[in-house]
Amino acid sequence: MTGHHLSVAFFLAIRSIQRGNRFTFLLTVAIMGLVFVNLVFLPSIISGVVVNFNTQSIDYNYGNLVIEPRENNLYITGVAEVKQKISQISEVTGTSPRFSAGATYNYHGTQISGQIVGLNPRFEQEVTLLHTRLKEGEFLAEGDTDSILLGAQLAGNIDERKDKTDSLGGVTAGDSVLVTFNNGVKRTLKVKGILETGSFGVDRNGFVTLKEINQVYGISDTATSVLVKLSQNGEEERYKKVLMEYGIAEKIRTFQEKGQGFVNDAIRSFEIINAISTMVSLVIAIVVIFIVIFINTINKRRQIGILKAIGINKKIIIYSYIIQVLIIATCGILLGLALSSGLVTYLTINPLVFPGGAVYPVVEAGPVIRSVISLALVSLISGFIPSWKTANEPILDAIRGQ
Amino acid sequence: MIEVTDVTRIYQMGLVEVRALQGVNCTIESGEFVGIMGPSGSGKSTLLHILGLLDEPTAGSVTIDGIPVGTLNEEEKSDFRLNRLGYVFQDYALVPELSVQENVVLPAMARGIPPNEYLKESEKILHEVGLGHRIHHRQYELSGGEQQRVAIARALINRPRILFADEPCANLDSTTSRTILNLFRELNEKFGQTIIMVTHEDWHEEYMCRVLYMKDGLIEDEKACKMRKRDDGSDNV
Repeated sequence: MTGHHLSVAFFLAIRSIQRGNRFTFLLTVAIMGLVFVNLVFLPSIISGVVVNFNTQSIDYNYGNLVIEPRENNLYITGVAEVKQKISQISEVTGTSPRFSAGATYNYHGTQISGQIVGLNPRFEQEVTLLHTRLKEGEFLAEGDTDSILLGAQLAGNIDERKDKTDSLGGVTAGDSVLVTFNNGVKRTLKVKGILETGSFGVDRNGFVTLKEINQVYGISDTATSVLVKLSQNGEEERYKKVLMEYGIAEKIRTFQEKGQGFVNDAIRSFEIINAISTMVSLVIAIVVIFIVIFINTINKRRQIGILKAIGINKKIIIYSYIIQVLIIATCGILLGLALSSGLVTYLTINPLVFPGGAVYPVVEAGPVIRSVISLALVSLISGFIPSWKTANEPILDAIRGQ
Repeated sequence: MIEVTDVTRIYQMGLVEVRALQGVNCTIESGEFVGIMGPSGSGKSTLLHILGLLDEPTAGSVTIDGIPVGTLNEEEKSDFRLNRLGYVFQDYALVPELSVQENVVLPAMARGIPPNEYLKESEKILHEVGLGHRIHHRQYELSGGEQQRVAIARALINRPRILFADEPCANLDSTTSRTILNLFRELNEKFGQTIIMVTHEDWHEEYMCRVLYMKDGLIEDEKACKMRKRDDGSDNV
């Protein structure tokens, strides 16, 4: 293929698009644009779910790393020492010991079982953003006793139709609830605030100070977990090792490991759906583009025969069709990008609401590049095969349309 | 010069064997305007296609300017057609997406001629065929006769050794046909252009140097046309 062959092919392709059938061109571009949206949209939602899950895990549930009791131990003892060891690591911006236990909540005759979490409000604010998610009331203070924060789903609504699960039926800040701890101790605690994070695991819990827990269980310097916040997300695996090097002998888990379970299963299911959807989209794209190009070349069979007859090299003819489909693909991809951007903008303003909270689409470079390459390849194949087939026909057969 | 030796062409149509050419022999000299005539199915178009390298003989050989064209591969044939042959088809066969000038320059572009040269040449040829004022028009804006003149201009852009015309006047009225035939004759007389034309109109003979009459796949007769009609009605030897 010489330079002038390519320039003739380009010339024919441009003229064909400029002066050919506009409807066919626009239809093909529209189909490719929609296929592109389909290829990019679902992965962006899955990425959004993952980002949402990760953000919620870090901000409200676990921090970046969670230190847990060693095998066969129920508690971490010597929490102060653990905290002191970890605080030597400069990238650790906060640590928060927590004590989780089972509890039963009782409010106006409604009884719900769940978890109660003891935390140090000052330390907790260094690690999580719970203090920023108060629906009403105030966050706990370090010296608080006889006070509790309730998750919004546990507190519930007076109108139970608004509840997503069983609830206490509309507890508000200032109310009192009777809490029965799993050691049998009963306390009437004043609700200081209602937390609403959107994370199911948080909004079903009650939160008290560690001081309260220490009194109830008669313990001190003890926790069931220590949350660790790093200055940067994404370095969890590395700092897991660093923590071990600093002498933390307890079990250390990343927030992803802690979150393994139904969210990961959901993401895996999403990815299977996405793979099927991608496959189907690409097959549809191949079939549609192939049919459009095929009909186009069949309609121009005689013209291809004439071009060959007057001595136009068949490579020029094939390349002109390939250039045409690449131009169509480029327009389709650009249209797809514009549509995807519009859709992403719309869903950023009006996010989808999942059980874990609002999910914003996250468009990552990987799926976009993959989609661009897939569509370009599909177009190349769909443009090449029919034009190659027609250009290789005997000249007279093509001219006569036999 | 074209030498045709024992050329046969057999088509297979289902189970039926059609013998379109049954051993054609002829010679066409450079600068001749030769007509091929005969009834439908006599093999005149088949012979033209074989001479123009659009089809291959089942047996026999064709030599053009000393080159046995049967030995050329597909790529070489394509180059041969581009560089040495020109074609005019019955239904003009223009590319509808291209303007008059773009249609004409296409074969020159494919040869790699510089744009300034092929644009100048195309304007010159389009003026010669009387379409200087239609350069930027599209096919749908032209009459049948104008379209055929564009096809002739396209066939001439690479200054071919031989111009093939397959019933170029079949879709034209007699006045327009005369315009086209006069153009052919002028090209033949002024530039010594070799022209081979298939036609079934007897009155076209008056424009040709020689006519080959075909019947049942063979050249049955040939006639040298000594007197050729001029535009002004006078005869020219």
